[in-house]
Amino acid sequence: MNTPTEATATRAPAAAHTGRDARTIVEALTARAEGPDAHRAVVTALDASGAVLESLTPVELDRRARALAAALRETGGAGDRVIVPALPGLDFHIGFLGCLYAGMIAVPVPAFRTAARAGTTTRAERLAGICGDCTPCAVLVSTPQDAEEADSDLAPGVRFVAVRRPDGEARDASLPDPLALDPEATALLQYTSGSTGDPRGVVVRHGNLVANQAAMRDRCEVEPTTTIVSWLPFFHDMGLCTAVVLPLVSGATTVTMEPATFVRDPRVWLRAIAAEDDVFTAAPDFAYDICVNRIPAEERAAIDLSTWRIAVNGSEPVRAATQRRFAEAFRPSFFREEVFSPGFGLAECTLAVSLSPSLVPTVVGLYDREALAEGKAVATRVAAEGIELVGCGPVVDDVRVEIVDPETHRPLADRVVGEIWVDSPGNCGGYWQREQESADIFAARLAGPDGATGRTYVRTGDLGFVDGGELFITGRIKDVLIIGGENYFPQDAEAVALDSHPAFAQQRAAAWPLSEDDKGVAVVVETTERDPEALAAAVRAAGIAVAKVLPTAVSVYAVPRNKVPRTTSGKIRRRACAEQVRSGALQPLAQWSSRRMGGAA
Amino acid sequence: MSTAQEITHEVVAERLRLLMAELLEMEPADLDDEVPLSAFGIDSMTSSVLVADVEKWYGVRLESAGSLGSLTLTDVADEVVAVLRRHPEEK
Repeated sequence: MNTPTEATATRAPAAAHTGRDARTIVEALTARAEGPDAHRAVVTALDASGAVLESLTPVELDRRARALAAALRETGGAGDRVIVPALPGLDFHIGFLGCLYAGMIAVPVPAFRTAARAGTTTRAERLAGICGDCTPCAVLVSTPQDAEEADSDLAPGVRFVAVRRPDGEARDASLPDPLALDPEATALLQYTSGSTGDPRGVVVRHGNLVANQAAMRDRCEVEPTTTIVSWLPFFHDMGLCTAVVLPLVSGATTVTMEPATFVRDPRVWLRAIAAEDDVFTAAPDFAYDICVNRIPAEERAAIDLSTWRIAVNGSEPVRAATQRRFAEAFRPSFFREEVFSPGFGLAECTLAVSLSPSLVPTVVGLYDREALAEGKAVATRVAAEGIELVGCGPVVDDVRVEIVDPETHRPLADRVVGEIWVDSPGNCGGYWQREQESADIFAARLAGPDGATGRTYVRTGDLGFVDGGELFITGRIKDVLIIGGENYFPQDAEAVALDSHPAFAQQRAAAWPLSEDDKGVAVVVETTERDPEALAAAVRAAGIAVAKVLPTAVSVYAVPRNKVPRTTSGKIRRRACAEQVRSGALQPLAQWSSRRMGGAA
Repeated sequence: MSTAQEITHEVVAERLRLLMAELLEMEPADLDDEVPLSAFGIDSMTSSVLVADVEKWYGVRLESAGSLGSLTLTDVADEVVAVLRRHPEEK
């Protein structure tokens, strides 16, 4: 129904009554609750089968958020932190907005079980780390019963407050708190690090949320007639921004489901998309692979995806092969490949930095592998010599990106690889109570004459280059493995591999994915052992040891001494090593893999 | 007990192996007992699917719901058996 020309031609001018001019999302919701869309659903939650669980209008969402805010004000004051777990249904929306109405700082975290039970879990440890860092006054749960049954050991000294308030509780006329309408006030802490010992909360202000998601809205042409269909977790920056903030700054509506619903049956997501007229989605690259792998070819034609106008692909490296494969697989569903909109963003800049426009074909470049390794982006036509890179679009409105030499802090020319620095109204206030680190990361200045402008940048730690106005991402400054959106250091995997078997003791190892498209990690270990049985035992032992520290598919290759490539100063060249194994230049003595490739029995 | 088959570690482990092989689209024989499940592709999201499956089959809610990936097939089977022994009425 929605052809590209129609979608562009029917673009409505921004209207105040939909909240599109609001300075905070609380102002946007209160405006919408008084406007013509006051009684049209703003957010709907689906259950595991795709049936509607609950739907709220702006008036209802506003009323519930106010009721929760009034209850929260009995446990703390404006500026206090409140833990908001990824509660089921629409409880997260109410909980998050309730905190903001109260002038409190929301701290979204993964769901965890609050009922008293023995045993600690990774999530409980992570929660303890976050509580230690931000000292919250309350943790939200769904119902009063959940609050009663909550295990007080989970968060000592912190009150559990139910999102769902009984009807008839007194209304507090002082709400929303003035801070909820102040763009400079802190709205939330976005915790980014997956490691339990080192939680870092990005301080996101109200103004950051609105500026960043208004830019997303404008780049993607999200209108009051658009529906956002999301399965992303709410504690994730992309999930929070696109499913909670974007609908409020654009006047659009949101349909949400739990991440587990999508993973169990991705058809629920696609059917929800098919059910709406003009659809925006955002998901990481792996979501599209899940759809192709889990939805049989014969079922695809029954799902009409012609209303899907924009599929933002971000938060993980974007692979051209994934997009092509999905577009090919869902051609019978009327899916068009130009619906994909690859982007680059990070929590430190709220979310979006660059993003391809709606309904424009993805820019894919083939760059010479060797030149890229030396920091130059040189186009090639020889597939065997090239690396395929996906353009993550031009920067969104009001954002400036510089590619910078990470050592000298001087800006670099186009098609030269350097660290990506971002100046944006979405740039956040720093990490919660970490002044030095915040100054280094959030207030970087260029060296030389360019530094005189007084402009400050967020240092992303990502490497990339600009070509023809398009931002390309090539890697990280420090060798970091990104697994499930979290950072791991290859050194840790290498150390456990060496410790796992006597054949590897005191040797060298290099851990890196075999190719850009590979989601697992390959560990190459040197050895003097030549006995096949001992080698077979050693690579398996190393594989198991590495799998215990890296939650991903693991392959281990044993190679002769001095075969792992190094720089002249002796540093291990992980990418070069993986590349040599991949191309066959480095032949292993023995190998082991946790996942058998190619389906061979 | 009215169940025809006693719930042993082996029975549970084999059932889990089949559940997981289906979820991961792998051959059951390729699931090495001693390898953490994350290496086969179990992440925090597929974990929750597996937890739901275990609950459906055994009426047992696993404690380590958020982090099954760090466990091996043997570990998960041990946990299911241990919970069943502690709360036989849940079966």
